[in-house]
Amino acid sequence: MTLTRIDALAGRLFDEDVWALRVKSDRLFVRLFAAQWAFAIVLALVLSPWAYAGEVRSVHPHVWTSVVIGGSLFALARAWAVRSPGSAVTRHVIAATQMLFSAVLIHVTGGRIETHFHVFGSLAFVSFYLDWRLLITATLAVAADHLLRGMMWPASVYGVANPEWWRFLEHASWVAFENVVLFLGIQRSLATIRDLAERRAALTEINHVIEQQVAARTSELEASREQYRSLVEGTQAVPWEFDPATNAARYVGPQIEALTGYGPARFEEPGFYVGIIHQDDVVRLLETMQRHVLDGSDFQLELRLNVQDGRVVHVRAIVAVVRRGADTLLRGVTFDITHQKSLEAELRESQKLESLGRMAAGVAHEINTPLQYIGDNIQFLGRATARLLAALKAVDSPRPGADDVMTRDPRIAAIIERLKLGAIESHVPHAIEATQAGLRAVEKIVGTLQHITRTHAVAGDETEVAALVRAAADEARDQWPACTFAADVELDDPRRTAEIDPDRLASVLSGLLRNAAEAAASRGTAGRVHVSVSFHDGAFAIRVRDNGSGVAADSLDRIFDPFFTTKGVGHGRGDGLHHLRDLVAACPGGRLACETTGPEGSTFLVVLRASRSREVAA
Amino acid sequence: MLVFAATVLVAIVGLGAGARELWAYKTTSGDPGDVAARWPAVRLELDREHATLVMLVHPECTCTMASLTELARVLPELGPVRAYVVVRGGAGDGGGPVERRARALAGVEVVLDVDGELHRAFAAETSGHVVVYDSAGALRFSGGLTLARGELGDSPGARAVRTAVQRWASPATETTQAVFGCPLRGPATGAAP
Repeated sequence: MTLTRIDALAGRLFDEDVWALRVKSDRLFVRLFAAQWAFAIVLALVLSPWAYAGEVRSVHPHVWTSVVIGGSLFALARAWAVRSPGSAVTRHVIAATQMLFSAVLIHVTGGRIETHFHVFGSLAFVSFYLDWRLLITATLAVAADHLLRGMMWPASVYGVANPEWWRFLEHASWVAFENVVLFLGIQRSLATIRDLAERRAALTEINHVIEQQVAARTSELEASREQYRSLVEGTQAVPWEFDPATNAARYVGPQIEALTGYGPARFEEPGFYVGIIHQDDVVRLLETMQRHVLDGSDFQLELRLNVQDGRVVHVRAIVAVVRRGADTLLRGVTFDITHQKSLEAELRESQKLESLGRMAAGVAHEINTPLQYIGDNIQFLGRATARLLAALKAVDSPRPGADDVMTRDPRIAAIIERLKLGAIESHVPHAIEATQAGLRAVEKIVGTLQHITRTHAVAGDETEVAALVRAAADEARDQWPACTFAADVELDDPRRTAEIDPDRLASVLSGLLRNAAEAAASRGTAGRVHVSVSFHDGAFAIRVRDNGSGVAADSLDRIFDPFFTTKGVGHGRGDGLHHLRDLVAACPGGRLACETTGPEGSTFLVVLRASRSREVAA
Repeated sequence: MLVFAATVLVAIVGLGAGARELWAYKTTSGDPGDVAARWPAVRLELDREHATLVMLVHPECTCTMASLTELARVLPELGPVRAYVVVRGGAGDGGGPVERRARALAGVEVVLDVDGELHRAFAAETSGHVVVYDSAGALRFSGGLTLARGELGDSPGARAVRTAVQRWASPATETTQAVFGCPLRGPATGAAP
């Protein structure tokens, strides 16, 4: 709000007010002229209706004068007032004609001195226009009439036939006196109107500012409301208001359709909401609702909903109890927690498996020692059995000429016969060998279990990556001859080392190559695995790429989960990638990730940090 | 625009024509007549010690009201004088406004001239005509007391009457002034009512 604006507005309001007042004065004068005209006619009819010539009478000229001159003055004033209301010309015409009306009345009354007061009254009327210039026009009109009449009939103007020379000045002085009074009155009225206009301008400006502020606040409120609405309806949480009395929703956010498949309008049907609640949760819901409606406390509830497509959706409702007069409403939001429930189930399963793993690790540790001496003993038993069988065989087949014990003692021959040395000789070595093979398998399982549980790396480990990668590729080539393996090592220094234990890196590479070979096997003899090593910015990047069919999109985010496998039952333990990732992640700067995957194959990336000693040496 | 222009034009023409007619009406004096130079032999009595003033009026002439007003103003200034207002025709029943006005004047004798004898004797033709005779019956003033028809205010006629009455004893001098008023006789017949 500036003073200049208020001043400008005040000026405009002042002009409007004055203009309106002058238009109103125009109309007033038109009515006044009509009244004066009628008055002049009536006056003429009363005072001098007839003129006589002997006994012959005719309408008195005063009557005609009143009709014609009065009518002309009225017509003149009205014509201007209608054509240009409020204009300067109109009010000057009206001022002049009003004064001429004084002359008409003076004539009609035969020049009565008292009628001259009409002049002063007319001047006062003219001042209604609040335009001091009109006083000049009116005065000039009066002066012209006085001059003319004074010259012709001075007595009708001044009361005497031969007035003194200063008598004109006396009359003029009284008119001037009234003009001064009227001038001051006009100025004062204009000042009052201007003051009012300034006050109105200030009030208008204040109102304008307030209206602007209200509009701005309203706009902000609308924006805020819209923001709130979009926030409430834009989230996955479903806002709602429920009337327990009618068992129907009063409002449900549009998100409900995405959650349940039913539109918001359905929930306004009594009983619909309760109808889609899982039958095992209905009683609990109704009891909880009834309890909280009575005590007025807020609550949370987890429910299952039977949605339109036949699924069961888990939801959590956060509910506030709202009292509105005699009504009690429930207002809240509902979240879909189905995925959360699923994750919780997985977590529980994972925790169970973790416990199982820890138990397995303990079992493996405990089994290791017995395995050791069982293996040793089996080996011992094998050797001992061989020697025993050799001895018995020697008894059973004596050298010629030697002392034959069986011929000396027939019981020995019978015992040997019952032993069936031939069968023992042919089966026992196989049994021992099979037992040893079983033991080796158990040792391998135990070793794997120990690997799973031992994920920490040892500080100071370092491995020449290039050599190890080539060795791993060679080994894999032997193991999966149907697949083509290629190794591509791009290192400026082939002896550069990474901060990882050689066994750990060998396990990682072996696991990745095995996975790649199994994936590439789907291509038959066209299966290819390519392993490459590069070095940038102090880190190794080992990529194992296969041309298999890739990882399914729905499995991609789970391939590193423990015990997750896409292989059939009996074809994998599911500890592969999870275990490999842990092995790599335990090393400084180590990282294992699936870099790309698709129908053309997958690439797994291992990032390892170079050994510091080697870096310094380089 | 056309209506406006026509209205303004008609109004201006009306103003001009009206003013001209009014002007003509006001300023045209009546027939001064051939007033008797000597006091005629009538039923009115000539004052033998002072001047005698006779105003001859039409009973309905509104212009004459101004003449009577002026007479009322002048009379107190005249001193001893016998004054008559001769109302032509004379209606009876209290008369018209002129007669009533005349009867209201102090020091004035109202005489009804029913048959017009007095008017004929004095030979006045215009209402408001004043004649002043000295004690010897000689005419000292003939004319009106107003400046124009029905116009109030001092006039040369009033002043002349004052002189004629106050100096009635001085050597006879006759003063004549114009008379403004209704004709006492109708224009068509020329006969006195």
